[in-house]
Amino acid sequence: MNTWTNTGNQPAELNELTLNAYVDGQLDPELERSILSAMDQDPGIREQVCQLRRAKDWMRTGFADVQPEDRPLPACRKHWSRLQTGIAASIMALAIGVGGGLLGYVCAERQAATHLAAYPGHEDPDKVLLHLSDAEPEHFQAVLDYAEHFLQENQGRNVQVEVIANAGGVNLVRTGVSPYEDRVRALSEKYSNLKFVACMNALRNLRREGIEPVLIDDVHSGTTAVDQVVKRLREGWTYRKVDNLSGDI
Amino acid sequence: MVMSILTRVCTTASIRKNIASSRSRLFRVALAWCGDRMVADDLVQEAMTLALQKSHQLREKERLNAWLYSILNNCWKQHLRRYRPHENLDEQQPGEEPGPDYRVGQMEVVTRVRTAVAGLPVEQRRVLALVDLEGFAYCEVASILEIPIGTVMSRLYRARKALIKLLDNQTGETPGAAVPLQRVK
Repeated sequence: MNTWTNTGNQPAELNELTLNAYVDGQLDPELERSILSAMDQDPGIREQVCQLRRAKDWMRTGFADVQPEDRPLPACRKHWSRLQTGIAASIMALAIGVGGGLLGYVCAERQAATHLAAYPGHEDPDKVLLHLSDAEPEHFQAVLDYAEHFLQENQGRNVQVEVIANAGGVNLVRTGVSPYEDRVRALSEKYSNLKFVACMNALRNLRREGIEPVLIDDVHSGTTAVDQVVKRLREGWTYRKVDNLSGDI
Repeated sequence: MVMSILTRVCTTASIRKNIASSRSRLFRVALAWCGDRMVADDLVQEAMTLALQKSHQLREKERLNAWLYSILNNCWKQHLRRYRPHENLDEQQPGEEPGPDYRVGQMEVVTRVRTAVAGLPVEQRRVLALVDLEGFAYCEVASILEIPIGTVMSRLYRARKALIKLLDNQTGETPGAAVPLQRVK
């Protein structure tokens, strides 16, 4: 919750605390309206609000151009070693559970994950991999908004966007299921540098449930999400998970 | 499981990147709190080190910003305990003993503002910087500083009142003079 609400039953008391909350955008719309109305009628309240806004402006001006000295990012070996230990422990548990046959595959994944951890800074901003793994419609929209915005902003440049959908995320690219079927189709037609990929495992799981998934034209499949993400990260693509996108659009 | 491990690795890398890009904003708030560039720089470095070490503990990535300022706040509190253990953080009377520079009539706005802010009680500075420089909501400031929301509001009110008193008097404006309302966006 970002809004402070006056909880009193009586009409809003226009004290200075309330006026401070007003200039900070912390009041609910009803109380804001009552303050605007009071400002229309009372020059004293207008002046108080102006003073408070000026105080905010002073703060912003006073610290607007502050820049720290350049310093290297603090080292955090302790954290990475902990994370790698966690990865190793998880993989070991998995390996014991499913048998030796899978061990080689898991070790390969571990190696890939460790490789990624070792090179967190190698990201090409022109190649973006968007990873969608749930069936939340707002996440679908966030992915499409991000992709469209990025491609529009970079028209004429050699950029690439790939949306990799697994688990519930494949619903974005399923005919008759996706709430954004037309938009996916339109974006695919408009941008040749945009590619949608559906995880092979997710499609296989649907088939096991007796559902035959039909993908929207031009949506690729034939690879698992894990393989595709690992491949793209090794190629230096920038990885974005859908729940990290909201602030960037 | 492999996918979740991979996601975790990528997410942690993304958090690291966001922490690294927060240095300027953290520094700005730290400077407003302590008023000393070198101390602010050390506080930010310490906070970033802790944040990077603990980034795997952050469960909600959207809370990263507030979480970073909580860490910065803890670093600042430790600094105060270490170097100014006897200071009463919330009862200092602002503006009663301004430094000699403060009296110079033609000081730049930036200098005047920073001097005035430095004269505020520590706890008021803490709230003021988070609200005005970083735009945090009151409830977020309450969470970061671990104080009630009513305390956030009263400290903010007192801080702004003191700033207006200090800075308005300096600019020679008549208190109470009508100022036209301007729409600010």
